[in-house]
Amino acid sequence: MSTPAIRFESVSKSFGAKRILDQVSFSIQPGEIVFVLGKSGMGKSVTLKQIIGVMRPDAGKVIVEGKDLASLDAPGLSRIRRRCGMVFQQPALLDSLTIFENIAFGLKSPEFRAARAQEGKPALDSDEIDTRVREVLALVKLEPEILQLKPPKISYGMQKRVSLARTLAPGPSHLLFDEPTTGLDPITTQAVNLLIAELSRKLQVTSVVVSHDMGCALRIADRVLVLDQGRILIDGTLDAVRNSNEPLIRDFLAEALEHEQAQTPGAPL
Amino acid sequence: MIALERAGKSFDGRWVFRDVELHVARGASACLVGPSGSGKTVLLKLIAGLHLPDAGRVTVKSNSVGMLFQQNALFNSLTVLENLLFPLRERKGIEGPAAHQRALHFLESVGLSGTEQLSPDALSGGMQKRLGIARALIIEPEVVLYDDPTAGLDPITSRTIAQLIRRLQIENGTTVVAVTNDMHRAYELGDTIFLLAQGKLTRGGCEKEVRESLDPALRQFVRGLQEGPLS
Repeated sequence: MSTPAIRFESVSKSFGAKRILDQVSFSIQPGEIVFVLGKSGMGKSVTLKQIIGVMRPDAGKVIVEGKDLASLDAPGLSRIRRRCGMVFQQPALLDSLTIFENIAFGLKSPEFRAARAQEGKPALDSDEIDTRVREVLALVKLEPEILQLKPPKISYGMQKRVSLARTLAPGPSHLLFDEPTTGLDPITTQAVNLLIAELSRKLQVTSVVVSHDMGCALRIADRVLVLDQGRILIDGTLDAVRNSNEPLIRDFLAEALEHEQAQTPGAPL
Repeated sequence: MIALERAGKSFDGRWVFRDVELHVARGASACLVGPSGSGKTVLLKLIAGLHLPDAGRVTVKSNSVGMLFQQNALFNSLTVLENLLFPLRERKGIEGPAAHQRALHFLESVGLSGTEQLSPDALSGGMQKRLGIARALIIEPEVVLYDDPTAGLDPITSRTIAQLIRRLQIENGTTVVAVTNDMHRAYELGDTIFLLAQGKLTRGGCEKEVRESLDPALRQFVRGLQEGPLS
């Protein structure tokens, strides 16, 4: 087995008296789509924040691409962060910029230029930026006609896609999604799911998806981690989840299975 | 209790919806579903009187309307208890021991007894939502409007909230209009479900009728299909 893309070794994290993660260990292989599920307040977002090193564990190790984040200096940590693309729950686009400028924003940043310089590569010129923006726009299935529009002029579903394109532009190896479908209507939810699955396969990136939505996990995940009371309740394949007798998992599954059945073409609702 | 007759609303010359017909009887509950940006919250604000219609008529046969906003709109500078005392004093003129007793009763009814002296930001998302519900209900409104009351909550917490809203609606005999994007919650919240999409309001009916509906837009929405009239 190759070096895991992401590995937690006995990670603990508390806020005040409340222990959010209690000696949590897991590994995620490069290219895997892993869903991290759990009720609100069970440490899902804390897990994501530890992967990009914006939050440090109280004990244990967070290892990304074989490197213990605690052992890295600031430039080392910055290099790892650039390998990770974070997709937030809200599109968080800049309304004063065009769609093109929003997607190109990261490519023009001093941090991105410095990172390329470290790798001995020159900064992207304007033609290269233009090409890259159009490439990632096509990946999220949007037409170039929208590039000169401002975000408020496009639908919310399209804004979600643009935000994903912006994350993809610098070429991350790992995508971290923070509740990508929360609050979305069923059609947009399904569209975002299909996009995550397709991009992960096409670009061979690792995808870690923090979510409440077991239905999404059942459709696109390779593996599911369920966090509860600071521990991993289950770390397994979709079959392991479907066959679990844990009451919490059964509870999460109940609605998801009904929805899954509804999605089957021709099935009665 | 609530009647929208050929109601329409536009912003900057663009119609969000037109010719909307919605009638909600006293003590009944209606649930609006629809794609993001279809105008569900705008429609709710029309009923609340926060927006005026640009066409048609909106009639609410009560001056007593409570609204739960999506973000709860709690005061973090006040304690949980003070958040409930505030609308009692400001809107009903009730103060002193009577107000205190009523606040404690509502906290108990939403399962928040014991949190009186905490700040709302010390509560979990689900608890804040329950406090928001108690605050909307404490003035004992005849009509309660819920804007996406379970958004962002995990499915187990959101089911608990939907059941709480339903129980309080039945106990108090209130008229409810709720907005959600989650069909499971829609079935729990509304006697009748309506789809607002592409500027039109379509009556879906009760859960069974919605599930069996042959309306192409409703079928596409409920099933989350990528192909259909809403794409």
